[in-house]
Amino acid sequence: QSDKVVTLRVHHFLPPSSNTQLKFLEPWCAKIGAESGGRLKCQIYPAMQMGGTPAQLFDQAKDGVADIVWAVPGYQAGRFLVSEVFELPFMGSSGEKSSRALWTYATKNATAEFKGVRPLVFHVISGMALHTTKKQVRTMDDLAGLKLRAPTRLATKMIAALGATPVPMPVPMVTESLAKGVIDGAMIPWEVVPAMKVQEVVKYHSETDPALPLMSTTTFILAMNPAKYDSLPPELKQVIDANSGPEVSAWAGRVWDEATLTGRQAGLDRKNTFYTVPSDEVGKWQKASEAVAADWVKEVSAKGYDGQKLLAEARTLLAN
Amino acid sequence: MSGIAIGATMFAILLVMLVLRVHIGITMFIVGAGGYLTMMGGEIAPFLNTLKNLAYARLSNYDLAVIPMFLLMGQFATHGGLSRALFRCVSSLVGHWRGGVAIASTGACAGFGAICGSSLATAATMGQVALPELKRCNYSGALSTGALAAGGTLGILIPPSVPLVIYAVLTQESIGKLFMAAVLPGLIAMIGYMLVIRIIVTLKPEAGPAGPRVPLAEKLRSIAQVTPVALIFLVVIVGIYGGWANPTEAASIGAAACGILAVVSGGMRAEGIRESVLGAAEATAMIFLVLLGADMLNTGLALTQMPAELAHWVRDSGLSPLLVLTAILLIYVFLGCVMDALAMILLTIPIFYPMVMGLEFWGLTPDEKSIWFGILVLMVVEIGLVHPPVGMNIYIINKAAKDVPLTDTFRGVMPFLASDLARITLLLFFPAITLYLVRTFGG
Amino acid sequence: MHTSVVSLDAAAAAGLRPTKVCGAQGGEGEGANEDAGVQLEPGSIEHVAQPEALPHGPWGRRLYAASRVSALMGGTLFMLMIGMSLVSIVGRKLFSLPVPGDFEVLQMGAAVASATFFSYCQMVDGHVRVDFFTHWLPRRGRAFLDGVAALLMGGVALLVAWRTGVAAVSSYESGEASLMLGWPGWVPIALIVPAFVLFATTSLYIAGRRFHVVAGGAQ
Ligand code: NA
Ligand code: NA
Repeated sequence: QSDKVVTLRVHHFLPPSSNTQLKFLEPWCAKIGAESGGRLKCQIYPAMQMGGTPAQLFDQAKDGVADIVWAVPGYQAGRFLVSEVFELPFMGSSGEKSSRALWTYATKNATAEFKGVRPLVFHVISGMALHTTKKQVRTMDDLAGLKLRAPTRLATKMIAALGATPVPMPVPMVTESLAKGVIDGAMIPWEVVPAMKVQEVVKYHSETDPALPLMSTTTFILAMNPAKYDSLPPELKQVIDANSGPEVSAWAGRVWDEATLTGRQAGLDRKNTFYTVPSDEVGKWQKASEAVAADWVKEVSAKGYDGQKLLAEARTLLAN
Repeated sequence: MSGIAIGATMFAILLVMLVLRVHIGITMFIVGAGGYLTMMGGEIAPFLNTLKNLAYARLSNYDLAVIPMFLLMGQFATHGGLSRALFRCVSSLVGHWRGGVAIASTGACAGFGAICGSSLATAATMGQVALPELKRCNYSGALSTGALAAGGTLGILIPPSVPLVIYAVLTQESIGKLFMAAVLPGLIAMIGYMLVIRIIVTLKPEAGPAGPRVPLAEKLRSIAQVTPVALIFLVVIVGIYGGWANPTEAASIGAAACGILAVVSGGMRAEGIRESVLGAAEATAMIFLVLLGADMLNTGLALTQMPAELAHWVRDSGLSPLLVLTAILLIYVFLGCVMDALAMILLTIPIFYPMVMGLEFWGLTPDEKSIWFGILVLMVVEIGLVHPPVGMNIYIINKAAKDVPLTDTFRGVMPFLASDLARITLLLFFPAITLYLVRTFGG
Repeated sequence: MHTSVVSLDAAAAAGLRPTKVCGAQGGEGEGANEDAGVQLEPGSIEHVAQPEALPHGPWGRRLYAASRVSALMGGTLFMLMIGMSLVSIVGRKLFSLPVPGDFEVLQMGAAVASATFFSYCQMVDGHVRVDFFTHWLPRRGRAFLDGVAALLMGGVALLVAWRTGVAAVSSYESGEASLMLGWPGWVPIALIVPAFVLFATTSLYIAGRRFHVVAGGAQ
């Protein structure tokens, strides 16, 4: 019985040519394949081929529609409040560090939210920048009235707090909306810039001082259906265990840190104008968006958690 | 069983159910569900759970909201008498040519097509308006019905176009780019149909005698009457391409403008508004039910890996890409004998699209290839509307023209089919025509 | 000669539905040739409505009225969203101030509104199917096949209604909300359930009508 091959159905929402599939899921699958002596195999379904919307991926792992999903919890705004803390403005300094911290934080504090799935990896996408078509963002004054695509619920609040008009929209719509002037700019991670050809429709990229915390991040989870995990023989469970946890999460964060560099290169190759917002200006942005964190604390506390303590704990983990 | 074998079995069952009069959407749903359950080893829980998401995920799709809006826009235009104004305008300009009234019918179809997303609606509406005139001017039955059945297809060839929206949603392509790419091929189609009419009346002058010349004042008056329609079309198109609006918003503008115009100058009242809403509701439901079924079918097919396996096989087969593409286009023409345009697109795109995207054509980028293929598919499924035995436009027009035998209409539509084939060949070998506007205006 | 396929593309079915069609009523005083217009019966496009398909008896009339009201409500909702889009475009263009959350409101509204249309389409026999291969069958033979088809449609509609209801409950329990406005996500999901229940009811009613014909009842 022991050499039966188990095929895991892995579902995600990006195209097969995405970094997610090529640099993260395929290597991860190759690794469990090798370590199980070929007894664990992935069948990757990209681009929501198994049906549903990206927001429903998490429940697909929970319900056993898929065995493993790569999902953005934040697509279901309000459901994953506790782990959302990592999406607050100016949290964390690199994908690698934040991802390790997120694993530790989420597996300790957010177990209720992630009940029903077995988390394998938590990670963040780093390298968030402001990509604009007509005007370089240098100061908060430049942001006033600018229509900016926001990546997450908290980034929406942050953009509003900085004086711009947030326009939430799915990533696939961003390039066309920029080209057509429906929005003036987008806050998106560098990683997706070349995939969506954003560098071709914008002229300016504004980044914050790299010595300071990241402007914003999006959190991700690689989650497994628990019943599927339980059905595995012990030696295969071990392979899965060996390929999940804080260090694998840190590796995932590193994958996106590297993707940030490739993405940046696309903007450089296009000879777009880059600007690094200096630390004193970033300080003003941080101050202006403090209310976002305060709001988050209130919301989480309303659900019966100690919001202040959670925020402090996340910051401590990130500082290590 | 291999993925291809399971997929083929699914298609066989699908065809049997279709023959037995089960609704297309329900057939797709049941076959997809069967495939899904088979691939899950008969486990029912994943199926029930995936179903939880089906309806809301599909119905809340932002892009799909343009369909009811464009349908409503066409309904308002119809109930507001815009079709008659259009026909009268073109007719006053070219009616005195030999074959001029038939040419005017085609031109008016193109004009109506510019605000209506459906072929049948265009054929029916323009048939109602133009057939009596053609008869009064002693045009032959074959020419009259042939020109209108073909002209009706301009309803989907010229944007807005419901089949293109479906293609865009299935392939994650931009609706705006597809609409833009359809403009030149649509105009070429119109010109092709007009040329066919010219050739017919040159060979057989008695088929389309010249009408009376219309005085200038009358011409100007009729042009003034269609100016609002032209403005609406411009607002919608410029709205999409000029950047003030995404397609859904542009469709909102168009629907509101057509509605206001129909009330103000077309005499549409509460009853007309109700009829318009119910008309749009029925057509929307019809389309969305098939979409829901197609979602289930595509999920089931994806699990079998059949589309991917077929695409790999085709890519590695060493067959010439043009040969593969021509074969695909021919399959559409044959399917068109028994199936409807949207059903064909929903059924086949998940299989053919990865195949085509895996091949190399004229050095096109993936995005260009996807737009170009979409327009080609639109052109071939459109043929299904006018070719015997079951071209819907033929029946719509033939039913309206009571004294024309069906065989005359079949005969009448043949020369127009020839122009369709010529146009498709042209677009197949010169993708630059389709892509010209997209490349020029970017997007 | 009957056409086989009803086109999906039949926005037509719509424009065609009442016998007075399209532009002819444009108040142009040129209706002299109206008799030449397309005269399609309710249920139109060719193959469709056998008389027994049409609303019949007190229950048929009630269901027809209910589905019509449902579709008109959905249509009204669509027109409201058209209005919202217009306000949003103007606001965005002139004052850089779009209607907040217009995108997500449209998504929720469009889902609810579209769902209300299915039952009306079923009552006027507008859902598309292939008729080409079976029109040689005797009337009762076709009625039998149509009864089975309507039964399957009703079954699928019930299944979807049930699962969507379950989805609304899990959405409620998870507390998810819309991105901009924070509107509860379960509400629009729950609102499409009654529309599917009505859809299932109309389908089962039509199945009953068809089997009635099979059993020999003409009317
Ligand atoms: Na059109
Ligand atoms: Na056909």
